Amino acid sequence: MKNLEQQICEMIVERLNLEDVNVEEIDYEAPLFSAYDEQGIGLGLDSVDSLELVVAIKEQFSITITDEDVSVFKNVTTLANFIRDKQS
Amino acid sequence: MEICFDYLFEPRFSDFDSYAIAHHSKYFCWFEEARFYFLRNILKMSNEDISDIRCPLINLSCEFKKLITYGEAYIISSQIIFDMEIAKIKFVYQIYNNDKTVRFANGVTEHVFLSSEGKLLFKMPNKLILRLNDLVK
Repeated sequence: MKNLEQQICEMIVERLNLEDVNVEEIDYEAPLFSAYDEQGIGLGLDSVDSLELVVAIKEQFSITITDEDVSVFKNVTTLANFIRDKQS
Repeated sequence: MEICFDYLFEPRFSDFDSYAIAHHSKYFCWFEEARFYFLRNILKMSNEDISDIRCPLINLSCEFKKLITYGEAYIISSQIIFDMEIAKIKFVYQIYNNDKTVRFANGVTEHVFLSSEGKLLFKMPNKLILRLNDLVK
């Protein structure tokens, strides 16, 4: 069974049509957004992509992310921890 | 969800360049006029309500099909595409002549929503949701 981090990576790649990204190669600690990505690591997403992810997370995990929770988009691990917290 | 409306406009003399061709930048101004027409006349929002909603552009495009000339009225046939679940809204525009027999341009703008502090919102402003819901009903 896939762990939560893997499920999140698959969701991101599918939702944002990241055709060049291999799910298996995503570093869970790497920054999701370009602003965090000064060394060229991470997925290089932008804030508008986060809108799509908010909807995807609601659909897949039935969890609502509010404007106050923006910090959960730091990386895959922070997203996974947020989802675990909400599910528990 | 989708909402459609028409906005009638007549280009001003100052919209044209020395070749008597409407300057390309003016098309985006006309699209903006159509959006404000939608907010004021279809959603019935006051100026105060409108200024509370900050919805900057994240994408805009225009295909220029035929030359727009001075002294004619035109229609922007607009379609608003949105989903209440996502804080993003898309306008699709088609500029036609007055009887809608000739298309002059196609355009698209996409917008997100910001808080008064300039932060990206994950949910459309409630004021807008209520108005859109009323309209869709």
